[in-house]
Amino acid sequence: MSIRFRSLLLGLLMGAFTAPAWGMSPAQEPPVEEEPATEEVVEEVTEVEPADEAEATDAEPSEDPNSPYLAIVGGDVYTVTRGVVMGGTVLCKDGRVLKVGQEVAVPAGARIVHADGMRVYPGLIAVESRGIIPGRGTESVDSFDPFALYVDLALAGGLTTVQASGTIGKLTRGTLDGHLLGTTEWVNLSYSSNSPSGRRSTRANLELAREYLRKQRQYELDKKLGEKDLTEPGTKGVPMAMVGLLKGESMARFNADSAGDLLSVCELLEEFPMQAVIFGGREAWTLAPRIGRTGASMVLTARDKDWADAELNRPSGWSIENARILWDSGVEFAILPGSTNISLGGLAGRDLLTLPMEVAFAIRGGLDQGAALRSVTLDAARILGVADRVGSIEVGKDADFIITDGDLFDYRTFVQWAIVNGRIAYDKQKASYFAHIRPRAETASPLEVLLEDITEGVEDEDSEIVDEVIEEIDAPEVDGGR
Amino acid sequence: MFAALLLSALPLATPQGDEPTGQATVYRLDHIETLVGDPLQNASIVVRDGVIERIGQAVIVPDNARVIDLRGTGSVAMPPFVLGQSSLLPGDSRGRGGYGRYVASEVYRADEDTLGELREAGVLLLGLVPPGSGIPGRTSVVRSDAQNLSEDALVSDLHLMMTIDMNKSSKDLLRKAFTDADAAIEKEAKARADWEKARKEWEEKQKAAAEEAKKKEGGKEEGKGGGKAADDPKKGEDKEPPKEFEAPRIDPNIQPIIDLINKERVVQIWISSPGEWLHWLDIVGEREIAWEVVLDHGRSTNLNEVAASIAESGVRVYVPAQISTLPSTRLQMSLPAELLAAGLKKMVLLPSSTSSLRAVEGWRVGVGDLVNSGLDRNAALRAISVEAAAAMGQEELIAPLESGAPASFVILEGDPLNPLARVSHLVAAGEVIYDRAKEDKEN
Amino acid sequence: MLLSVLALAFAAQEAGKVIDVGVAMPMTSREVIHNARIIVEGGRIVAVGTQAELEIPDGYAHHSFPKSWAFPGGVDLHNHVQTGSWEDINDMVNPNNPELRVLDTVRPWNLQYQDASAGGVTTVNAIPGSGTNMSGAGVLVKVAPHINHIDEGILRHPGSVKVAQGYNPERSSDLGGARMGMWWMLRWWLDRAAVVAAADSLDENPDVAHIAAIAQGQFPYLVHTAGGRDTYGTVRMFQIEAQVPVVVSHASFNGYMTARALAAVNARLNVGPRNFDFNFNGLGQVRGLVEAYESGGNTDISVQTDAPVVPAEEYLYQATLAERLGASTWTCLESINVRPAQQIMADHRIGTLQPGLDADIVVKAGQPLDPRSPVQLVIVDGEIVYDISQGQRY
Repeated sequence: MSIRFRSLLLGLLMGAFTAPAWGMSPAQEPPVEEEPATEEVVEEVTEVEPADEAEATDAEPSEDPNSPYLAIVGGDVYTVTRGVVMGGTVLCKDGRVLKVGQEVAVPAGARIVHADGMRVYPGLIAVESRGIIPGRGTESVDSFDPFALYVDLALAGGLTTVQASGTIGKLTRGTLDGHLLGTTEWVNLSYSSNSPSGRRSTRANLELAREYLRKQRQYELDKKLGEKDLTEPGTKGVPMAMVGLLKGESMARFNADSAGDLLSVCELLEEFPMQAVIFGGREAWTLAPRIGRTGASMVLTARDKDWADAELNRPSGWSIENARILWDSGVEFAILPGSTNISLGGLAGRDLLTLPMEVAFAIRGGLDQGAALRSVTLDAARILGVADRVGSIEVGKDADFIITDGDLFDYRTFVQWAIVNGRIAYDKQKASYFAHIRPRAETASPLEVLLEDITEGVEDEDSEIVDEVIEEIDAPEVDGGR
Repeated sequence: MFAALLLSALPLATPQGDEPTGQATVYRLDHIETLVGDPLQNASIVVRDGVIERIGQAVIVPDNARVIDLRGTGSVAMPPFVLGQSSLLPGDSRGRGGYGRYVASEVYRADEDTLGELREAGVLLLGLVPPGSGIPGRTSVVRSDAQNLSEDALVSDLHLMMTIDMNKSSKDLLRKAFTDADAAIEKEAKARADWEKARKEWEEKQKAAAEEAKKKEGGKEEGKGGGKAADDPKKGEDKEPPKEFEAPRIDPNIQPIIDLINKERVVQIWISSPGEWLHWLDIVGEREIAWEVVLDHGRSTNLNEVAASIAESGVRVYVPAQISTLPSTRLQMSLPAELLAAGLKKMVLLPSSTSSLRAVEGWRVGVGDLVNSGLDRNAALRAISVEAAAAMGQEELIAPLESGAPASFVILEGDPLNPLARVSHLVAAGEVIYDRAKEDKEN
Repeated sequence: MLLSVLALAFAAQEAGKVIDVGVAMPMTSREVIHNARIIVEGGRIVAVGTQAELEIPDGYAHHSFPKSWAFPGGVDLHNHVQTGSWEDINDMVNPNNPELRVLDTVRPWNLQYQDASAGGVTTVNAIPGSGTNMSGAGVLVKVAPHINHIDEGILRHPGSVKVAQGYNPERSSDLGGARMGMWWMLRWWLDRAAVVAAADSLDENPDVAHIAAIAQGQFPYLVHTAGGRDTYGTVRMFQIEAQVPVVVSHASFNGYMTARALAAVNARLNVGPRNFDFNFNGLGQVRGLVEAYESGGNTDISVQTDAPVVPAEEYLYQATLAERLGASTWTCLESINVRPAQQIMADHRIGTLQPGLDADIVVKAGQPLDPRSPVQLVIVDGEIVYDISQGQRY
């Protein structure tokens, strides 16, 4: 995706617009610029009006717990790809999104979640996790405990999809159905200065694979030209995983933190173009444009603390601005906390129970909110190769949402409901973990009251400024302005 | 909710007109929990020929009857206790595997010390579960006065037992058992089809040969032709009829699974967590098989998460009689009450552990806790006696106390739910198999 | 970029500074000042008011942050990174060494302190570890690059004497292997300190001079304690029995279960680095510790990092998490500056923005507890020690 297009998308995301329902008929589509064809755009499902929908009325329909319909009504819907639908309705059927908009009729009997004054986001995605789902590829299905404490807690933290040792699993609390979303077809490549032998063998294998592909192409060409007595190149001794990489069938995974290792990975990718994801990237901010040109994705931690090396005459060490700088260079990334598990040992704010808090630190470094949201939704889904199913709220995609009582990246915000495959998987007030903290019935949190007080005393010419503080939509000003 | 069960559990009354033969024994008691209708106060049970002849407040004491008068001692009678599932006796486990061929009564040994303690606890029947996990074998039913389990077993082959864990190897073990059984069924069906085809072919050949012979020898005298044909050895080869059908040999570990698939058997699935229940449903899939569920959880459980699903499946459930705590908390929960509230019809209450004699001692304490926290008293008492007996098909030995019912009951020196109330008598079909006074004298 | 920060300190030749912000939080009350102006001169705060009521004096450097917030610098009472690492943290020969001191081990502008500074911390109580029952005197030190040697940075020595009552100082096969021995020894030292304090014979008794000064009320003990039994045990031993000033530090696990008893004696609680309890409450709750103490009636609560357990720069974030987990906004806002300053008995110098106090000021792009907004300017003793325009460190 080009940087230019990305900023267009963000512009849409930041400016909430009023839109009628889409997905009904092309004529009724919202006035959004047609999205350029990107791989994650889903075919819009042009559903035939369901028969029972004709019975929809404005009156509160009685809910049928077995209805295939689920409607989230009244919340501001952060679609990620199509901006914000203020006070919208998300209508789902059989675990998929059917319609999104402000004027969506809710079929009689639909299960309803009242989200007035709240926000609806796609469920968050952890590109890597420990201790939540069993993992081990497709085996996860047979080992998954849909009632596990850590599944509950992950949902409370806003996660609906996590990756663990090759399994891309949904947190389908209470059911095994639909748990397995996919598996990561990643090929781990050792290419670190810590392991010269790993580096040598990676290179050697890629060269073998490239040679094989060259012969294969020649063979196909000769065959086409009608040459006789051809023998198809043998695959013996050819690292087929590498062949898959070079053919674009799978994705390479690297771990690289230092500028040196990152540069080596860039050089490798320039020589052997392939899809790649780089985990770590502590010093990526020092060579962001170079990484951007390789097209590699990254998985970052905002607080990946390590100091600059005073003996180097180049920038080094970590930077809180890492994510922002990479974003500006067109690098697509997902954000993870320093600990990819959930710990109940008592230290809060640094693991998957509070993934948005890690992103808040990237925002502190200048990352804008739209990019921040993508880093834990759509871009995470793209890295995992499941963006056709999850990562944004779009017609036809999976009905995986979180409904929050405030901005996702505000530290006071809690997930009120998590919905997976159209089922309510978590309800803050029904689960024991956070129900006692600012119970849902309460409206304004104390700090909002404080901020209102501040607004009252502010003179007119500064009102715009303070409004920004209140809305907390814009990225904080970095310029000291002296 | 127990009405239907009650009816089915009623044993046949002694036929009218049969003259009583044996001596009658009359137990005069302070209180009787009949478990059918209201309890009786200050009432008597007349026992003759292993059957309750009369029960009530105003019974006529038959001539020559032996009277055991326990009035004024706080005596309470009720149907005997039944240990729905147990692995208390010594026996060697084979670990995890597919051992469908084993039956529990042959795996365990009758340990008189243990059985004696069970009688002392008022337990008349034990369900024996084979030790191990996966598919450890089949369950059996024995009396607590058994001398030799394999010989005295009331039922040696009741249900097939399975356990499940949340991992691939455990699920694969069960899946493989089912697919192996499917394969065996298919193999047998194919063999039978082949045999039938061969038999049909032979029959047709015979018929054709007979007709041909008739044609050829049409003019010849009757009776001679037969003898001629028999004399011809070459013709005789084809005339040998196919043997009786012999089914392919089936792995005895697989046979019970085949029975299960053919709805000739019930499987008992042991579940310790709600996730395992879902994984069990996943294993079963579309198969129509009959099962019972044994909830085998510790002090802490969240099996209440699937109480509705379990109740909905309409199966019999065995559940430990104890107040549980929800995981990671001290929040208390009565799983039996949750199950009943979810609509469970058939429930058997077990001690908190099936493998510990101490759990049997604490059994009535656990039941008392459940009753104190709201579980229906009558339902609770039934769930440790007559319901458990019915689960074993032993209604003719243990049933609610009424005229015509088997004379099996336990007499306690107080309320059954008072753990301090000791058992004074255990009567099995009229025979006293435990008498505290006698035992005390002997020891 | 770090060098340029250092250069800034020497470049300051102006008569004083004027800092204009959108919102100032003096923390002297639960009120804020809009369109505020803070005037600084000679390392002290001269005036705090609105831009309308205060004029910019001639020759003063004017720093304007119309969208930002200003508040007193953070005061982290439980921090071990005085050397820049875990180095020199505990001398573990004897279980009780109140005569030892951290002072000589401090590297005043180490990398961890630089990070803390970028996180809005201006004062640190540098203390020894919890490997022994009385591990020595800590020092209250300002966090600033112009502190070349420790003597320039001392706000007060000793800042506190560190005591550890359990969950770490236990000694194997010796007196003090369990609480009976440890607490008997602690009481023995407290008694001795009281005698020396009463006789005012500190100079003659150097081994107890530090703790005798506490008995005279000069500064507090800072006690590592946790769990319901020990947290209340600390208050009982120090505050109720010995009647000496004490800061109850950590107070984690299920310490909050004695919250009402602690509130009844106005205990000074310094909560952290753990922010919540899940295992002890038995209700399946993720229970915020500050919230739990607050709901038990406590108001005197500060937070802490126990750096490097939680990185020193995440000091404000500890209060962020306290509010996230249910504590009230003002309790959390106060827990990072005014409360710890009072607890360590240095509120006549630091912790609030008011005339006469040290000019230790943080300017942040948003409200103090929002991790999304970076610290933009940090002033210690009137000198700029961190300026985001020279590079964002955190």
